[in-house]
Amino acid sequence: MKIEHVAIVGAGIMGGHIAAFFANLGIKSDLYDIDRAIAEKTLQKISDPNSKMPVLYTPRFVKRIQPRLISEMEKYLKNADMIIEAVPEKMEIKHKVFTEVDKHRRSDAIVATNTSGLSINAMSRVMSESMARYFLGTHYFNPVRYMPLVEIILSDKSDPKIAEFLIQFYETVGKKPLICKDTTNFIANRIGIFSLMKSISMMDRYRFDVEMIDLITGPPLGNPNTATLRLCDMVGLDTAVEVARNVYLNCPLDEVRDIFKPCAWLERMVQEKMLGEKTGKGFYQKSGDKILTLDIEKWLYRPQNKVKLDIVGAAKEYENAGDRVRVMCQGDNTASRFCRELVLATASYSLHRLGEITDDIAAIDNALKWGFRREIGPIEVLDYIGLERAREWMQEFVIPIPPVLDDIIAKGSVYKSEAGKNYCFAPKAKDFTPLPSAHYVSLEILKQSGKVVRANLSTRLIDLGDSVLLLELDHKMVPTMNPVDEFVIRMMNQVPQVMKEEGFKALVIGNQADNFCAGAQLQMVLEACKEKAWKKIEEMCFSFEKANTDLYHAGFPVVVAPHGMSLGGGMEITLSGHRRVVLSEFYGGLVEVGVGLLPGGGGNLLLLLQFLETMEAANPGPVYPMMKAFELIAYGTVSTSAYDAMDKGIIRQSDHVVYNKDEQIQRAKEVALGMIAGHTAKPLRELYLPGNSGYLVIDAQVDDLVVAGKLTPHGALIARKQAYVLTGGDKASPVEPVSEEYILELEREAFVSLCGEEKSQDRIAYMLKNKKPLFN
Amino acid sequence: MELKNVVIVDFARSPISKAKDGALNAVTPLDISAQVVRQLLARNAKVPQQDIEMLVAGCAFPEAEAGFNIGRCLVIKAGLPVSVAGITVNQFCASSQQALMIVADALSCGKGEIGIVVGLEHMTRIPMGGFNPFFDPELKEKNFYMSMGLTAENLAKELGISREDQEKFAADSHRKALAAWESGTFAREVVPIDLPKGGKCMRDECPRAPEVDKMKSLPLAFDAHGTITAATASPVSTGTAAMLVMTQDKAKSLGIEPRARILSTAVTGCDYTHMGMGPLPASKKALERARLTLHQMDVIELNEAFAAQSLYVIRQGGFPPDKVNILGGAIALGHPLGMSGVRIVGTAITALEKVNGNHALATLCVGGGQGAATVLARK
Repeated sequence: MKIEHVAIVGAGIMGGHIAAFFANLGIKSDLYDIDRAIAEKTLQKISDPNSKMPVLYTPRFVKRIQPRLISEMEKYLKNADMIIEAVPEKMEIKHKVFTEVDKHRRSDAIVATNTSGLSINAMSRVMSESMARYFLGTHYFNPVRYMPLVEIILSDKSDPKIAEFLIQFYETVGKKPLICKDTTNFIANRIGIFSLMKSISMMDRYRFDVEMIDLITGPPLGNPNTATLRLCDMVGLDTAVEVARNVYLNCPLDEVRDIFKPCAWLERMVQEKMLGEKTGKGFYQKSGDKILTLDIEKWLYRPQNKVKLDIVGAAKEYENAGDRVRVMCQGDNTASRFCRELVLATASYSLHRLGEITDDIAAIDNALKWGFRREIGPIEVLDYIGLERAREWMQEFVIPIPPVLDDIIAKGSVYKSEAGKNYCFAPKAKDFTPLPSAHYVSLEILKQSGKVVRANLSTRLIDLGDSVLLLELDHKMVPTMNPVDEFVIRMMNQVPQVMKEEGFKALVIGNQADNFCAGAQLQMVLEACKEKAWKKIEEMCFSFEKANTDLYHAGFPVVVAPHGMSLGGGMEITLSGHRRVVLSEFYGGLVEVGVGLLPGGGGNLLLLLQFLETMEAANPGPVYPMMKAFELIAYGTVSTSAYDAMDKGIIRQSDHVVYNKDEQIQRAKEVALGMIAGHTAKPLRELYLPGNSGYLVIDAQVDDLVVAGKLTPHGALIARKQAYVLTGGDKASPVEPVSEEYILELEREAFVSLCGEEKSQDRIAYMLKNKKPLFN
Repeated sequence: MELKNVVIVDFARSPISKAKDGALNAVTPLDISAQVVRQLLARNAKVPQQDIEMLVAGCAFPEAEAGFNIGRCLVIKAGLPVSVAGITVNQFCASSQQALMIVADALSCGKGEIGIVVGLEHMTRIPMGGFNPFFDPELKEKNFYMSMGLTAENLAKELGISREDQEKFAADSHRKALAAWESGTFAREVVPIDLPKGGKCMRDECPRAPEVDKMKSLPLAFDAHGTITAATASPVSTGTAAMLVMTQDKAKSLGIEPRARILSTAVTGCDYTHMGMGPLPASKKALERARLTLHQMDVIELNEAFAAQSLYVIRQGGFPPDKVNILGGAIALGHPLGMSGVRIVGTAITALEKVNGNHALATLCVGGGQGAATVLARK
C-alpha cells in the first residue's frame, strides 16, 4: 500500500484543508465537486498569502491540488491511492458519492469518510463487498494543519490492515491517529460538545455574560484562547447545535442527555442566522476594527466588557495547565463554583463513556488534547484536583458519580510514572497498564536514565549515544519559550571543551518542548539598559557571538533542530548550525527590530554568510546577498513554515524537513552521524560587502519610507544602524573585504547603542507587557 | 552628405504582463524578446535578413537575464544571421526610443539600410534598481537618487494637481485601453507569447474596469501628505516591443509600404527632482526640428509614468487632452521601463491609423531628469 496521489470528494472548507494537508506532504490530489467554482474558491482561501493562520506551508503548494468535477471521476479517480469523502453530513449524499466512487475507484484504493459523527457502518452498507473492505473513517479536525488528531473508525467490514497502514502513515507525518468505536460523534466531538453545551447551559444560572465564559474557559482551564463561545463562532453555531442534536437523538441512554438540547436563546441565534464568522455575527460581531459582544438578555451587540478576575490572575502564574485548573476550581467564589461544576461534569461524562466510545482513558484525554488543543485531558485533570476531592465536588453538584472513579481512587491516580515508564489506569483490568513507549529518542527517558552530561538552570548536555551530544534548551522558568539567558550562553561556550574531553564527535542542538527558543530573555536586557550597564551588555553580546560563531567554525558537525518559535536568539543559534533538521511547523526569524534592537549574537554575520554561501555560484555581487539579509532583519520577517523559511532564505534549501516532532531529535542525530566523516571546520572568511555606496542605497530607501509615513523616525534609526552593520561599515568596499570579526564588532556597537535609546527600551518594555511589538 | 529618409515598416509587441501572478513572469526577458522579433520578421518575409545592419535593444536594467549584451544575445536567439550586429543601450525609460534614434541616425547617414529596434524590461525577474545598486555620496547628497514617486509629487505640488484629477485621469486611461482592446485596435501590434508550461499570453494584463471607490480608498504610496497612490502610478510590469526600420529607398526597392516616416527626434535633460516634466523641452525641440507645431499633431503618445506627471505636461505644455493617449497609456497598459520608449512610437502609429491622421508625437520622461521625443508622419 502507498499514498502518492489522493482524491478528495467535496471541496468545502474541510475538503480543502485535507487536500492542503496532503499537498504539504508533497502528495498531489484531485479535489472533486459538482461545481468547479466551489473548488476554486476553496483553493483561493487556503492559499491566501496574508492569512493569519496559513493552511498551506507555502501558497505555491496549491499547485499540487487539482480541482475536478464529479463527472470527471470516470477518467481520473483511478489515479488515487486514497479517496476521501468530505461532502455535507447527509447520509443520502454520502451514499450517492460512495456509489459513484465504487464504480470508478481502483480496486486497491483506500476509501475514507471524514464524517464527524455519522455511522461508518451505515455508510458501508451501500458499498460493494470489495470497497467496504477498503473503507473506514478518518476524521480530521479543523484547522487540519494545526490539529494533530485523526480519529480512525473501522466498520464491521473494514480490513484492520488498512487501519494499521494508515496509523503508521499518519504517525510518520506527525499526525496523532486514534482508533475509535463507531459511536455517535466518536471521541473528541462527543466529549468536546458536552463541555461546550454544559458551559452554555450554565450561563443563565451563574448569570455569566459572554466575556466571562470565555475568560474562564480559555487558558485558565487549559483550553486555547478560543475558549468556548469564540470557538462556537469559529466552527459555526449551526454546526455545533447539529453536533449536539446528533448526540441527543442517537444516545438516548446518556445519563445527562438534556444537556445536548439547545436552550431557547441558542435556538433563536440559529434562527436569526447569528452563526458566527460565516454570517458575520454570533456571540461576537466585528464592527470596523472593534469587536462587539452579544448581550443575551437585551439581545443586542454592545462594546466588549473588560472583565478581570483575581483568580484568573492567580491561575496564570502556573505554567502547568493542571495546576491552573486546580487553582481555578478551589476558590470560594462564583467563578470557582462554575469551574468545579464544569470540570467535574466533564470528567464524569468522560468516565461514563468508558466501554461505550473507548476502553482507554488516555484515548479520551488525548482526543481532547490533539483535536481541541487542550493542554490537559478531561480525566487527567482529576490527578491535579485530587481524586477524593473530585468525588466530593461531584456530590456537591449532584453530578452522577461514575462507578469507575472508585476503582481509580483505590489505585491512587489516573496516571503514574515509574522508573522511566508511564502508566495509565485501565478500567477493565482495574489496574495500571503501561502507555505505549516512544518510537523515537525521548529526552525525558534519557534524562531519567542518567544520560545527562552537564546541566544548568536553562540547558542540559545529554549523551544521545553513538558519540553524539545534545545541547538541550530547557528553561526552568519558561519551558515553553526557552529564552536565551546567560546560562544558555555559558553552556554553549563550554560545548567545544566538553566535546573534546568526553570524546563526542557531533553536536545536536534542540529540545522536545513547545517551542525551540523564542528569543533572548528581554527582562534581563531591559534591566541592564535601565542600569546603564553598557559594558555588561557588550560582554553579553560578545559571549553570545562567540558561542554561535565558535559552533559555526567548529571542527565537529553541528546540527540544529528548531521547531515552533525559533526567534531572535533562537534563530541565531539555528544559523550557527552546519545543517538543520527543521520541523515543518517552523516559525523562525530575526525579529529584534520589534524590540528596537538588531541581532546581537552574531545573527547579522551568520545570515550574511548563509546568503553569501548559497548565492556564491550565481556570482551575485556584493549588494544582493546583503540586501536579502537586510530585508529579512529590517522587517523582522518570520517564516510560516519550514518551506516558507527556505523560500525566504531563512534556512537553506539543503536543510532537512521533518513532519513529526517526536522524530526530530532522532533525525538530527542521524544527520549529524552522517556528517562526521566528511566534516571540516569552516575557515574564517573575508567578506566582500558594498560598504558606504551600498549603505547610501538603503539610506535613501529609508528616507522614502519615512516620507511615505511607513516608517517612524526611530524605525529609521534602527534600519540605518542595521544597514551600517550589514553593508560592512566604513571599511568595506567591493574591492576591500572585511573580516568576520569586524562585522561582529559593528554588530556589538550597534546593539549597545540601540540599547541606550529610550524608544528602544520602550519597545522592550511594551513587548514584555503586551506580548506584541510596539512600532514607536 | 545627404541624409536619407528613414521609415518604420512594422511594429510588434508582446502583451504587457503584470507583476503579481503575471503570465510572463515564467518567461525570461530574452525569450519574450526573441519571440517578438521572430514574429515581427516572420510577417515581413520580404525583408532580406542578411541586409539587416544591426539590432539595438533598449533596457533600463540590462543585467542578469537581461545582461550579457542582450541585444547581441537576441540576434542569436531570434535566429538572425550572425552578421547582424547586436547592441544594448540604456537611457532608463527612454532606452528604446534612444535605440530607435541610434538606428535611424545610422541609416540616415548611410550606415546600413535595415535595422531592428527592441525595447524590453522584465520588472519582476530583474527588480527596478538592479541587483547591485550603489549610490555615489556626492550625488546622494544632491538628491539625485530621489525616488520617482517623490519627483512626481513635486510636480503635483507645483501645479496643485489634486488626487481627484489624477484618479480621473487614471480611470480614463483604463477605460481607453479596455475600449481599444474591445474594438480590436491592438490586434496588429500585440503578438502572443508562448508560455513554458503551455498556453499563450495574448492580452495586456494591467487594464481593468476602474473601481472609483476602491481607488479613493488606496493609501498614499510615496508621501504621507501627498496625492499619489498605486492607482495613479504606472504599474510594475513586463514586456518587449520591436520595430522594423529601414531607409525609404530600401523599402521602395523591396516593394514594402512603410507605416510611418521618422521626421525628427530629440533628447534633453531637465531638473532631476522634477524629472516628469522632461517631455516638455524634448517635444519642443523635436517639433521645432520637424518644423511642426503641437497643434498639427493628430495623436500624441505621452508616456504615463504618473498621472500627476502626465497632467503636469498636458497643462504646462498645452497638450490637447483629446489627442493624448487615445488608446490608453502606461497607467493602464503598464510601463516596462526599457520597453516603453519604442512602445509609444509603435502605439502612436496604431493610433494614427485608427484616426486616419498624419502626424504623431511620442514623448516620455526619464528618471534622472531627462526627456525624449519622436515626431512621425504617415505620408
